[in-house]
Amino acid sequence: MKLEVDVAIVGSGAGGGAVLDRLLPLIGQGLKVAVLEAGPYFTRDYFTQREVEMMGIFWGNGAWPTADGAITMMMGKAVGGSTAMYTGVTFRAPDEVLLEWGIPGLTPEDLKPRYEALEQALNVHAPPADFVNDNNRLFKEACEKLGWPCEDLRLNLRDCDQNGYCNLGCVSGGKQGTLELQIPRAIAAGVTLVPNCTVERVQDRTLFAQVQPAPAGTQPGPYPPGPLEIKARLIVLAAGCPGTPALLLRSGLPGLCDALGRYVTVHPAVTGFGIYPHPIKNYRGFPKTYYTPHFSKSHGYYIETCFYYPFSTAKSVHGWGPEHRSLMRRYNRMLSILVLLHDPALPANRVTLSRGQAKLIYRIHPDNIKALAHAQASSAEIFFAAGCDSVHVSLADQFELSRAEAAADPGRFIRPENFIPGTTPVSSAHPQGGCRMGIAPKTSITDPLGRVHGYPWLRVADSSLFPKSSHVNPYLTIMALADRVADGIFADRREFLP
Amino acid sequence: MADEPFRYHFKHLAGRRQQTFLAIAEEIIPADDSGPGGGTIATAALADWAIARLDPSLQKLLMVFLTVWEYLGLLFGGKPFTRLSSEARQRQMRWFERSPIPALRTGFFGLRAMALMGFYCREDVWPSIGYEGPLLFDRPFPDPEIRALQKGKVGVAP
Ligand SMILES: Cc1cc2nc3c(=O)[nH]c(=O)nc-3n(C[C@H](O)[C@H](O)[C@H](O)COP(=O)(O)OP(=O)(O)OC[C@H]3O[C@@H](n4cnc5c(N)ncnc54)[C@H](O)[C@@H]3O)c2cc1C
Repeated sequence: MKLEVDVAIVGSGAGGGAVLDRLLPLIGQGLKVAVLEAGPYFTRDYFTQREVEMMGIFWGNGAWPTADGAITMMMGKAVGGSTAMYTGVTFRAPDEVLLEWGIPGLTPEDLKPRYEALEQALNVHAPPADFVNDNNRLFKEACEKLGWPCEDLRLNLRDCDQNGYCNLGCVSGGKQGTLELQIPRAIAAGVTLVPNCTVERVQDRTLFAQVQPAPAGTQPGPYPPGPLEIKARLIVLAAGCPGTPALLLRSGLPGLCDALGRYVTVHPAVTGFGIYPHPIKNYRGFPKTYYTPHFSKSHGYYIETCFYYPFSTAKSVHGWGPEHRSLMRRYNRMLSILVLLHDPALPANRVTLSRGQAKLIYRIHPDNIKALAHAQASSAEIFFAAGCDSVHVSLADQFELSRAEAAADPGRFIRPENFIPGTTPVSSAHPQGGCRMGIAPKTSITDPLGRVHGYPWLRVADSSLFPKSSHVNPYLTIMALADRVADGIFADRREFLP
Repeated sequence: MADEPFRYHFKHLAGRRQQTFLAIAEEIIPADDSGPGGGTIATAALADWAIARLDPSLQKLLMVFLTVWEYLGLLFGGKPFTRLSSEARQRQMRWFERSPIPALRTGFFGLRAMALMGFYCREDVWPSIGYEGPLLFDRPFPDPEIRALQKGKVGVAP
């Protein structure tokens, strides 16, 4: 099958959705737009709040490890991309991060109005008081006791029913992700959405894709299974990281520099647990409302609240055997927090191909392992200050640290040497980089407005543009960058658009 | 009939591999006074359903790994893993977990994940951990097989 449009967008997540929204006014003027998405079109009534049934909304059915198996990567494979199962925690990139990125024109002043407009459109606000479940309340009280700053995690919600299953797909539609906002608007405006459509190559303003059958219970697309060729005047790659770098690597476009695929960062994430004296049912209510930035500048990490479902929790608990089972039996007394590490952007951490499929080669940096040990000691301090009887963190000498022995100085029991790659549970939901923007075609893949060097008809508008880590949860910055990419499209409009 | 076990046809964890998986799962989640351990057909069936949906290269690795695991038991007690005592099995698992060979560590981590999934995604296990289950408990899913497997009453289809 063949399709001819003015603009083709590959990927329908945070970046794709933001570009799509900016193009909508032009559709009324005759612009033809298609969105090609590898994942199925799940609607709210598909989401059953059951972990094993919802595997299929993630890449690799939730089992997408880094090449060395040390980190489980979580990326959405769905219309809406990873915003279909994100939590909606909304951060602006700190000024010092933008400064460190050093991209000409990408300044706090440039981003401020974009952030403001996006936050308004997505209804971003501080969590109201009735959103705070015990896990979050106790975290805040503990930070206050310790004298550490505890800040609100701002959220992009409207009429959220706080059912607590955000990361298995939002059943109420309260989360203001691409699936709920931009996609319905685009479909109503006449955009062609092709779900289950994996783009394999891009060449000479043409995309070569394969359409798969729609899985049962999902919305079918307009094309039957089989090859699909899409010609477009302008192509926007928003397949995320590792999706976009992998697609460019597969395409083998001449002239792109060796930075392609490289400088990937992931915010390695590790969960820690405290055991509270009595049941608190933290799996109900909104899972994340507070964080402490206390150690961001000094040690390179954030601590955020979090809470997950039984299997995800069991997987994040280190080890096995009677101790593991005994801890899991106290699931409804658990407090949990997530450490997010600021990782360095290194050329060796990269997306490559294995039989044409994306593979992520990534090694956790020794400084990050040291930071993790510090972060777990800080987490233990929070848990004890919150009133927990014991603490389980993966780098501790013992499976469970009791209040009596460890509360005074948990750091004595937690050591970086206890980190074992592939055994210590680490995950990531924030892959970034691989098509870093910049000025010089010798060291970057796109210019600061996402134009692929040497290919004016090809743009990148997703997390792969990040030249280094954003440190904070990235979706809003991805959307703000995609908004800049849309500026570039408008600036070049006469060349490409009717 | 509501009380009849659901008859499941294993695709990957069959034969010898199933025995190895069950032995590993029982060590990972040992029985205690809250109920049976992970080494049951119900755990294996749910894990098998999930394995069938993994990337084929990962499926293959897991299956090869199970075979390697079984025969490496010879080094830890002179017998295949399934015939070792629980102490010897645990010795082998502790060695795998800290093995200098990264593939052995990650293989173990993968199997651990499958055993934990097979166990903690089951409705019959949830009361023992104080989890009341999804708010939309009865919302249907397009694949009735996995919903039946989560109930935890499973038999092997011929
Ligand atoms: C469980 C979870 C929780 C999260 N919570 C938060 C949070 O609270 N706050 C926050 O800021 N961030 C959060 N994130 C991260 C955030 O969702 C992502 O960083 C963001 O969505 C990435 O945007 P993107 O456009 O780069 O890629 P995505 O949103 O991932 O979209 C990329 C899309 O491209 C598709 N694709 C890939 N390859 C191809 C191809 N070859 N052909 C066609 N389509 C393709 C993919 O299927 C996917 O749908 C979370 C992520 C997850 C998984």
